[in-house]
Amino acid sequence: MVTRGGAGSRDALHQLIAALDEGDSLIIFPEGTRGDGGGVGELRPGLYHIARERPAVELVPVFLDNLNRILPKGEYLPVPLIGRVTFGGPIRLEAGEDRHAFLQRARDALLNLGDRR
Amino acid sequence: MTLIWDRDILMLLGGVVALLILGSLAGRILDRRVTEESGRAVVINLNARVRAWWVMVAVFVLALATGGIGSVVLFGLLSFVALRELITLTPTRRADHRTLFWAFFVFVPVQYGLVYSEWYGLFAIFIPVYAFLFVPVRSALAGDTQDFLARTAKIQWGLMLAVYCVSHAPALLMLQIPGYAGEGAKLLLYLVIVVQLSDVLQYVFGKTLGRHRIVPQVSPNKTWEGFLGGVGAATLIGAGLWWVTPFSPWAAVGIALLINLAGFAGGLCLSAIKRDLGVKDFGTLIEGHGGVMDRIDSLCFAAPLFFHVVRYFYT
Repeated sequence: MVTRGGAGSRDALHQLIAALDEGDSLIIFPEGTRGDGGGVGELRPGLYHIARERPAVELVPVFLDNLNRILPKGEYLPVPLIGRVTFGGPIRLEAGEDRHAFLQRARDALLNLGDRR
Repeated sequence: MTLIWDRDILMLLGGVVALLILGSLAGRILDRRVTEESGRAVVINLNARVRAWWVMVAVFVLALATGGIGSVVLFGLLSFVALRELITLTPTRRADHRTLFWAFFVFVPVQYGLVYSEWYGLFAIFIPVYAFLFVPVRSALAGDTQDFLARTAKIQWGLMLAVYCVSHAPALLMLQIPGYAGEGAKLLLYLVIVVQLSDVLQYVFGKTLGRHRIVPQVSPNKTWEGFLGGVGAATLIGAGLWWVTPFSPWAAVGIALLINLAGFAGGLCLSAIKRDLGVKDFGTLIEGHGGVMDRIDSLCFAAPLFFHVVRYFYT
């Protein structure tokens, strides 16, 4: 389990990078939490830190469609709708790209996947 | 609900298997002959459809073989999946979540439980009265008025089409027809064979002779040639199968025509819904066909009419 916020977040980041260094793949939910289903939320900076520490790692955007309808935040009974997973092309941190620009670009990559019907 | 397996049923199933073999052979020959780009796609889709038909027939026969319970469970699952496909594509809101839970996990099982327990009185009104009224109440209690009428109507439509209408197919097994006791499986088989053959024949006539589109805004694939050829041929087949039913040959002509017209109407209306939602198919579950709803669209309209005509005139 990853502890959110505070001094623990730096440790958590190190754990993630250590896992990458061992050759493992990571699944990251960059919004940090489930949204209200209204759209893609702002991405948390953790994604940027990982991309900066390990620039060679491919970041593959994955759009999860309909999950907010299957089990909205705050509900405990799921409804059996059809979910859909869309994978996009990998992105990397570009030279000189700052945190805000990178997170914006990553978020746009997700939004593009969501638009594809 | 005990069912009798007699010579009639075995002959019907033999005919279906013969048709499937014919379809597979035709597909193989076309696969060798057709080489141009546009034709290839049709042939590949045709072969996928025939393969899927083998699986669907096997599942259906297996369900029938277990007697009433198998058919009820099979159609219950079809309703569940069809409702899932419909609701997935129609936008509902957060406030509908609990309503949808009721639809999937209470209304579907209860409706099929009523079919199995042969409680006709409640079966006939459970969804049109109780579920119909419950849906808006539950959504209103969730306190969101945006698109309220559209949201509740979509859920009600889903329940009526995918659950209520479809449940009339296995409900044929509950009919007490004098001199036809325990032979309800043949009626179910008759309905499914005639309606699905009508679909297949409309497809075949449409692909080979189709020129004049009926409603191009709704479906580019529905042509007058396909409609007349498919419905006409399937009606003749339905009439020729009068011996498995309690109908006289002439009554079989009328009833087969009725369910084929209803089936066409079902395909047309569901096509209009797909156009409205901006999708080509309801799902991807059945190779070559699309979703379950794409395959049972004609049955949705034909089953309740068939059920009521048979119940009114023969019980």
